[in-house]
Amino acid sequence: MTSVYNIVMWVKRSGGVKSIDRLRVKLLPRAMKEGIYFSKVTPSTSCSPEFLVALKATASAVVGKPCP
Amino acid sequence: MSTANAKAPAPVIPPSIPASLDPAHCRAAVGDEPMIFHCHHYNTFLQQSIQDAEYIDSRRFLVGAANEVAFGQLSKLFREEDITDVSERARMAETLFQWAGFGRVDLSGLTDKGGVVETPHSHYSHAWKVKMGEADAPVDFFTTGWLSGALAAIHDKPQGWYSSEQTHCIAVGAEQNRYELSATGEPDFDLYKTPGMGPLTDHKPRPIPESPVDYEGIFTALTGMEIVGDETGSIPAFGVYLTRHYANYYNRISFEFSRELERCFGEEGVSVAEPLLVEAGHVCAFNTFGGIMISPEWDALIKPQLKTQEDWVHGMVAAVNALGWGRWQVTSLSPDEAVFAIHDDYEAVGYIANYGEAAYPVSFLAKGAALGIMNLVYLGDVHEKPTFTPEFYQRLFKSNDSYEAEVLENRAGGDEVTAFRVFRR
Repeated sequence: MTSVYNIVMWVKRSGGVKSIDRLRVKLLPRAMKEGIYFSKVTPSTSCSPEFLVALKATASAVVGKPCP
Repeated sequence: MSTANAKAPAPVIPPSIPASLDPAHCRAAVGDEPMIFHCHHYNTFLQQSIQDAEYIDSRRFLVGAANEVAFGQLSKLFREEDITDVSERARMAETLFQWAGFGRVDLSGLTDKGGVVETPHSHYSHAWKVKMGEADAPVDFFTTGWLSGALAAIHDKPQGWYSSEQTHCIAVGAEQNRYELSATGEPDFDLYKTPGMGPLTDHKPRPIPESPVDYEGIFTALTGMEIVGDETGSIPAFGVYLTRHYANYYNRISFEFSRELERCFGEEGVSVAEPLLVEAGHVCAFNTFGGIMISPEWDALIKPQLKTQEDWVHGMVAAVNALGWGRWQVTSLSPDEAVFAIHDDYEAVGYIANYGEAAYPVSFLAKGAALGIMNLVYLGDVHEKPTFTPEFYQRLFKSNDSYEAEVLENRAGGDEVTAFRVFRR
């Protein structure tokens, strides 16, 4: 997955009730720096490559399986 | 040498805990500290949520909040009960810790200089291992802070006299927990002054729909039950490990967490903290309320009064009133929506006492718990005694049919009560 939107949707689909909230709190400072608000993510939301790597790793951690 | 006249050693009788019940406010207290029931699921989920924000120094308030309540409570107890002897004070502290379900601690290795406490019985460490699996670092911030506050009270020292560190933890794989206390005079955590019971109101109960549920009878029966720590300082009940915890501890750690996120990130910080704190309420309702509603005690005491699903909501609300969380009422009720009114909910009272009027609703646990009752009764068919699995949890709180809640009244913002409308999506 190569977009913020797809990863967030994957966490919502695949994770537990709390997964998306855990993702938000864990990445809050970095997301703010990128100007990303998870509640307002759309398919056109873009980010830096570094943030995408961190997002994918954190998504995998909170869901408990590798983010595809 | 004859021993015929020698006196046998006096049996060691643990001191009794001077707990008081205030039925007018649906509260219980020890040493002017409001004590409330919560389970290990809530305790660990709440702490995990806070620690997920790795970029804030949460240790300072997780430890500081426990120091706050222990110091305030024990100082007051020692004064009120006129306990001046240091070893007698230590025994009272040990007994209180065990009674509340926090585990066991032996304070005999501590002096006014500090010392070491080791124990294989810790609520937080065991609960973490059971619920979250093995931890990377020690997790028992509560006992770490509690010991430093207790030791200061025992030796009549200033509140922050002892710094405290947990060096070994069962949750990390150690055989027992180990805490080291030093009389540095400089605390390695934040210092807070406990607000005690906080500003309570005269409750004016609101009209509720007709129900066969005997609210007063249930309150009397449940608050009369001997729900206290066993020989290991555990309270296994209703399928969970209960604690008789400090309302002011939960308030401090929850509000310091949300206020720190607000300080760093503004409204976005609050919007990130709130769902986690509400979710902790779901976790609590699912496990503790669910456990209560399928328990033999429920079957014997409450279930015979229940004919309809609405009665089940009333029965659970009546039971909540025995948890020390304030006076809960359900003032309108149908399968589609309900209104819960809570007089002096502990979160609102604590917020006002600590920080003044709130700019936004702060009764996060209450909101999650009200949602949990409706989800359990109408969506989860709890009367059929379901198995409480993670999949069941997902279905209750993540499905399109799950209930939502909006705040109607906000006690922390100056309203008479905290009230939620809970409705179908």
